[in-house]
Amino acid sequence: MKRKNSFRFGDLLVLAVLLLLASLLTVSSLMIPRGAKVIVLVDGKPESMMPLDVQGEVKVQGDRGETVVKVEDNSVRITESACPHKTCIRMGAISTRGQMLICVPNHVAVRVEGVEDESGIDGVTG
Amino acid sequence: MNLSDNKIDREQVMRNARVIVRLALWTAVAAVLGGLEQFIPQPLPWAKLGIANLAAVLVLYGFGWRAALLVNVLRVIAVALFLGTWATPVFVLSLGGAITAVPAMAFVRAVGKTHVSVISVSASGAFVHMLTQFALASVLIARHSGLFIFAGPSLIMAIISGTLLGLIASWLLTQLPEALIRDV
Repeated sequence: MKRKNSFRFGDLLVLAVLLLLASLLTVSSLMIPRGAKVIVLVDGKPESMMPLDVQGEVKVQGDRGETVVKVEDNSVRITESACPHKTCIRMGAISTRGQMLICVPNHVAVRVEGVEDESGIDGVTG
Repeated sequence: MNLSDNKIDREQVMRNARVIVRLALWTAVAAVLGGLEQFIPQPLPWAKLGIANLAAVLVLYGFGWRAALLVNVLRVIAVALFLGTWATPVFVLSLGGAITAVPAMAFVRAVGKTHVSVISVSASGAFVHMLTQFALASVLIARHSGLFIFAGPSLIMAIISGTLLGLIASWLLTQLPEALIRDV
């Protein structure tokens, strides 16, 4: 008995629809603004960098001891710090570009940046 | 099952036994293919060939969607057990993809009727498999927009590999002994 399962005309249609869906998804994924990033500075120098949209934690060694920076739910906060007043922890969570968390005694700062502004310049006018 | 001397019952038992043996055979084939696939280098993290789905496609054509679903789920469990990925996110992704691919293939086959071949069925199975994995990964592993950058290209890869595997399946459906791929 001869069994036939070879290419048929409808296959072109199905493959075209699938490819169209895949390319629509590709195009739309390119249009999503890319997530911002978090920069942890110690003594004003970048010590660590992480994306804002991925859960994570980083420990840095400041002037007085360790500071723990935690990224969660698209925001960043300081959860532990070796400083006397814990003002940096009380500053809470930040999430928008340009915002900063600063721990003066421990010389640690956390800054949220957009992906594009690599230079650290917030804006240029004139 | 009533194992009386009733002739009809005995035929039913024999038919069930024949189907079970064939599905066990195809599950074994799928597990071996799925296991071998892990050793093929991957150009991209999610760009897999999905060779194991070949068995599900053949079973779908020979024994229907329920049988194909069973073979696919058992295959994922078997592969997870011998690769040690049991109960890890990888296992959940594989299982999710394997479960959704079968209804998608059955749907394309039922709607397409004689207008589509096994090539479309295989390609749409691969597509839905990949799509499910991305949806699950975005929930389970990382709510990371970077993940979606990979989704489009991976889906295109899945369509290509699904089409190639569909061509192989269409060839196999004409070459394999009738007894292996049909309930006869």
